[in-house]
Amino acid sequence: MPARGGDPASGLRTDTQRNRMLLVAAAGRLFSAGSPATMAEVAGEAGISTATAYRHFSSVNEALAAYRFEVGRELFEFTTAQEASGVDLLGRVCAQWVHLVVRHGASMIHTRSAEGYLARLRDGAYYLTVQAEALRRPLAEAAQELEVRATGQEAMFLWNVFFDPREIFDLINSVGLTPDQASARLLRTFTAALQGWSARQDLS
Amino acid sequence: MRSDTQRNRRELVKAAGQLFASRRGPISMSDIAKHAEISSATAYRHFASVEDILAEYRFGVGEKLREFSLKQESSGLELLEVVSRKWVDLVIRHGGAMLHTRSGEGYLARLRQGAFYLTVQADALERPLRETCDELGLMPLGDEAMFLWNILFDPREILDLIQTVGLSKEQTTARLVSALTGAMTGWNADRSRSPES
Repeated sequence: MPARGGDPASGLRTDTQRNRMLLVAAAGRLFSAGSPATMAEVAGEAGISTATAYRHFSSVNEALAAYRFEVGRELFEFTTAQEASGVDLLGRVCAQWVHLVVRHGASMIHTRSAEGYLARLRDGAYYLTVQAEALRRPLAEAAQELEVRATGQEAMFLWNVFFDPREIFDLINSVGLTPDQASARLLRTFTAALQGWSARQDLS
Repeated sequence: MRSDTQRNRRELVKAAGQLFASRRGPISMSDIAKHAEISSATAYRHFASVEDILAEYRFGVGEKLREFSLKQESSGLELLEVVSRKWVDLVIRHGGAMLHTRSGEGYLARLRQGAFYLTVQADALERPLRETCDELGLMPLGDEAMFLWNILFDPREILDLIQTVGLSKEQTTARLVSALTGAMTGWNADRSRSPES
């Protein structure tokens, strides 16, 4: 995964940008429908030759990462537009995340890398960075409101563990919760976990 | 099974564990067969894929956890902490072989389908989690408590806390157990408020 800051597509020529956008959208559509696809299939869905597709992305996973970046950016824009604060803000952002995950379906589920979340975040995986940005203010304010002592990194680590798209789908499909119930359940579980984590930190 | 067949199977599982513990990156069936000094054709008679070998390896680690758990005399939260610490030890000892390239399916979905290496791990945690619910005054959360334990004690997250955050084994165990009991309490409170059908 290349480490890039900001919008990876900036500065490209318009037709090049268009092809890239078509590929990202095609990868999202195919994976959202629940079926893994090859680069040739993604290119075919986008109406672009496979050779051109490989000039944009070296693998299907890279195209999916770009798709997840766009979803992360939607979350970031949502957060920025909110006037709420603290746990209230966190609740709204979490509900929006669950909503986005459900809307984008299986394309959000990574067959995860062997590396941990924090290790990948530090390496600058760009789609994780934008998601972390979206959560920065909600988590910091919620921690303050709950009088929790945890670093931003620790709070983000725990948030990621609970709000992993795979777990969200598990709650909806296996436990039978609605997206709103899953969001409320995870928020309550996460904030209590954060309080537990922080209490133990004071002791050790 | 004949004994040389059993031996080959054991050697393959052992070789996979050694290879995944010692290096990152893709490891193929023929890499494992070669390390076990067995032909690839024989290896494929035992396992259909590298993932199948790793599943058997993890089953062996899960069995160690279950045996450890069953012989403990402590109970409740104390038992949960002891068993969780043992798990952190096992994850560190077995390292790379414990990190799955994860399935797209959720934990509960896989557990309820009876994925064999998950069920042995769930057996190891059954009494600790049940008694902890009781001790904390929660309703019996059943496999939902197991779901919460599993997402917090995922080997990848444990190694992340140790390697990236720089926590010790003891700190990792203590904070994860405390986060887990918090999570169980929060889960229980929300479930009491809006029980699912």
